[in-house]
Amino acid sequence: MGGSQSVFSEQELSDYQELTYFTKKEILHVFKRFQTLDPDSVERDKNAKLNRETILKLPELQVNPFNDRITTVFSSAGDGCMTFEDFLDMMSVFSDNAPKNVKVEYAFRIYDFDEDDVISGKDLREVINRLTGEQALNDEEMEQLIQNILEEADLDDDDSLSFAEFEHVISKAPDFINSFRIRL
Amino acid sequence: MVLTNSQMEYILHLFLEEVNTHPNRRKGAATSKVNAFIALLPSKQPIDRQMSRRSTTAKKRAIARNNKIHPSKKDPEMEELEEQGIDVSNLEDEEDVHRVMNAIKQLPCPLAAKRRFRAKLLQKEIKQSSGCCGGSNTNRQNWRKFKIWKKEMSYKLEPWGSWLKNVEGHQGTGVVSYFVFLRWLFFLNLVIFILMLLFVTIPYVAFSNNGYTYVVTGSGVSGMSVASEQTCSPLYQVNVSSDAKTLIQDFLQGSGWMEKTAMFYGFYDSQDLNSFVAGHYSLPLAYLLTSLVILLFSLITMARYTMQSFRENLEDQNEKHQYCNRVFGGWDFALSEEGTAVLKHRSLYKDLAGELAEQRHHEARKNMSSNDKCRLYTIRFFINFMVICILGGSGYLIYWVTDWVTSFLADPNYKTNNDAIVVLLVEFLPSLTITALNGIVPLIFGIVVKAENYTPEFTIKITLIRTVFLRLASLAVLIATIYRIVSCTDKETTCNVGQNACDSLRCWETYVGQNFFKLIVLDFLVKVGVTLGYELPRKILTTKCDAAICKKIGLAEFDIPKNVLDIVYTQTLCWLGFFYAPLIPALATISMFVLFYLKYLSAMYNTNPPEIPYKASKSNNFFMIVLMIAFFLCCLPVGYTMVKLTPSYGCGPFRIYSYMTVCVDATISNFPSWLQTIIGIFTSGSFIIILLVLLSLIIYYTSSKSGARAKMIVMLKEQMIMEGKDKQFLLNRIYELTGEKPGAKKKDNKRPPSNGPRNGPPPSAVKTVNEVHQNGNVSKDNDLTPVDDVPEVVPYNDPDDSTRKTAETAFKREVTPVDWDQVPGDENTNRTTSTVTATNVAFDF
Repeated sequence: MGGSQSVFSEQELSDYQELTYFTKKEILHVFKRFQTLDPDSVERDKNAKLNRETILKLPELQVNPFNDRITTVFSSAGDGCMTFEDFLDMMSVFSDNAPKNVKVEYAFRIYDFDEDDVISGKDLREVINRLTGEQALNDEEMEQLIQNILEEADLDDDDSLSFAEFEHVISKAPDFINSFRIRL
Repeated sequence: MVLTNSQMEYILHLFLEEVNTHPNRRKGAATSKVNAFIALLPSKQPIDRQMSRRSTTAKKRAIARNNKIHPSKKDPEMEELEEQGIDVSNLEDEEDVHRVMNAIKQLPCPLAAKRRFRAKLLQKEIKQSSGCCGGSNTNRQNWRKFKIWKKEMSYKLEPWGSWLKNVEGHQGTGVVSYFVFLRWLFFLNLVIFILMLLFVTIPYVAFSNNGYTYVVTGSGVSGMSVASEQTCSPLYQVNVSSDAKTLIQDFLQGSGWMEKTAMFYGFYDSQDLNSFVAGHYSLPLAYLLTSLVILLFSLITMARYTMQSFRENLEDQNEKHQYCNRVFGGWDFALSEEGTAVLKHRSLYKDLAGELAEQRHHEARKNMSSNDKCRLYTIRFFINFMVICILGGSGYLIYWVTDWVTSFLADPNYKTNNDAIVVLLVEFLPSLTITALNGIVPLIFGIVVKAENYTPEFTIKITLIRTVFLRLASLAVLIATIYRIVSCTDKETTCNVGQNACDSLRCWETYVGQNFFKLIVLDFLVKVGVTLGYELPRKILTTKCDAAICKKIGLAEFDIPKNVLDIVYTQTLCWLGFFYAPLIPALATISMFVLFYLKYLSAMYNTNPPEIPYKASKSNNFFMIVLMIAFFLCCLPVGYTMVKLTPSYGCGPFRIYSYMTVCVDATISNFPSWLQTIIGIFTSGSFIIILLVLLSLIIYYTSSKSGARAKMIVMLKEQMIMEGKDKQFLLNRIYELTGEKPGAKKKDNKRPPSNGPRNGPPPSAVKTVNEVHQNGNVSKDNDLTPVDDVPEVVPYNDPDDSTRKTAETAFKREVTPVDWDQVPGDENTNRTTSTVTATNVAFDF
């Protein structure tokens, strides 16, 4: 711990503590995880910008079917590259302490593949395809599933989920809060 | 930047009005205006703006007013914050700053931006706090520092945190919830153990042999007899042999030397410890009160644990969002291992496909012929009948075995007549029977349930319920059998010990304790055995052997429900036994501790994640409910023992009392008379009735409150749907007017066209207001006009002043507070402009 302690000044740490859902100790831990992704460049510059491939070395992201979306959403430049602050931001959102509305906000962005601010049938199809991985549902099943989801969540019958609808349905999906997190 | 539906409708109305009165206007201009308008719709807002939707209109109005009153130029950061819907207008004290800080924390924007906001805010804070007194501020800061410190400590002290993380990465959140539950039970048992140790065992062991004076308090109370205690105590003898084999045997079954240790009830004495620091320590009272405190403590912690998860799911009783739950909560973001991820994909696929197939078959089942239905119901009836028979049979078996064993052991020469192993086996026979039944019968349940043709989810549930029933029923039978032996009526008068047909138990409490002791020991050994003797060989078989049949066997699955029921069972034994054997909680604690590592081993190396996606949220409640039921079942015999049964005269802390509760009376009789009167009032029947009435009133109040809230939820949901419909209606009107084809973007809609035109936004409208503001102007190709320019692009040369003014006010930033509730929100678009005065328009874009 002593090594990484000196990386940040006390002021920086307390700033981070104020702005994320982490304690100082946890922030240092996050930094350690960030460091393991690319020890050399982080050693040189703690605010090094790591590209998408490097970030995806994080085991949780590596196997995550939405990993490209996650890196895009959390990258402040929007290109999938992440600095430590972006990384910290991401871990903070995925932490246990982050409130549900923050998580829902980012989940919506992650699932909105074409970034048109609604989760359309196309987005849903993509989500489901990524969820099932190698074995894909056939067209008929897919259509049935999408219709089921829209029936449940699409309150205004416009065949897509707006943020409000998404938020509403997530509040009724008890598993979301349990699954949308990465333990430090 | 929020428009309610009535606002939108109103704007639209103005707009239509205007278009209709200017038929000669260019069509393109109208379209562009529509596009600009569409961009204002709530669902077209960029996400970060949608945060602001949460802020109340009242707050917005306050901001608007503030802007009007203090038009002084502001920091760009502050303005940005306001745009995010955070009220930064009146930051008077620490609390406000803190609130804004929290809001900043929740903003979905990069950390750098947040830091900028915060720096600005801190500057402001310094300015304002200089004039204020610092006292309460520092207090609050200290409090916040303390809270952070607490959080930090709890992070540091979280036991097994990294272990849990490993499991989570390997097996997913479902299995971790089992480990969290196990950890929680471990701590519960630890606390129970420490309480017992601190208030019963240590005082007795430390002071009893140290020249304590023999005192019996409250000698005037009825139901006490010191004489019989003096005759009977010497009669309670335990044969302690020093033979090594017997020593181990005694250790396993809690007899012999074990019986004389602090583990069991019979070890403790009824005398008050007079040399205790406080002067006077009544052991019987301490024993009784500690037991009650432990039960109460368990209840409260359980209630808290349950309520946490229960509250979240309470409104979700109708299973209406299962598909969304599966899809949006499906992936476990904590997974970190390739193999597990593959399994997770597969399990998600199976779950989704299975559910869809189920849905398709559901219709078919509805239309089942009456013949088939009849057959199905007959099968179900028979199977349920069979299950009841099996349960009854198991109960009888336990009863019979316990009875037989007791009569076998009643023979004074049984040890000399039989081999030591046989004796050990016989001693353990009831526990063995129960454990074996717990192992075998659920398997039978699992097989027969398949014939019943239930839905997959219900299949799991009903099998679990039957298993729980078996576990609790077998314990209940054991208790009943023990009760029959204990309360056998043919007893000698002096020491109240059974004679003739009744078993002569000199210390029946210890006997009860021994039974539970044996059950816990055996339960623990079986768990160790299953992990090391079944899962491990299977793992070795799968990895080392290449034959097809070995591969087919594969790894065992981490069966969460079964595992949870196992630890619930251990906990039940602990609650049942702790009164008769005060140190059983220690045993349970050790058992849970070892089990954690054992299960960690099997979760990490020996088993695969469960194939059926485990709904942590739902099942947690179920398990807690089972734990609660078990707890109340445990309270019954313990409470009955305290109040209704005569304690042994020859052993234990209550040997001089005719009932255990008499010791409380004895203590109270030593109190000053005024205190006695008060206690008398509080324990009298009338007071308890008043208390009950009060409690039921509170329950009535809260239940009617929750009923009202449920209604509110329904209403709000309906309103949400209506607003969505409103929006759609308005959009349709726009499309009608502009002639643009609705839903051009949709390719995959298979719904019948009767649903009305889709309102998939025309590509041009996707451009958000945010961008509009940023760019100042928008590229010509998508024909979207910046909002602020609308009046210029659409020249007004019509003399109809009221319309124009209203439109202008509507689209410019001139804002006057207005109560939108007064604007009729119905879908009646025939309302003319004159019904709403131009000055009434207010929104802040």
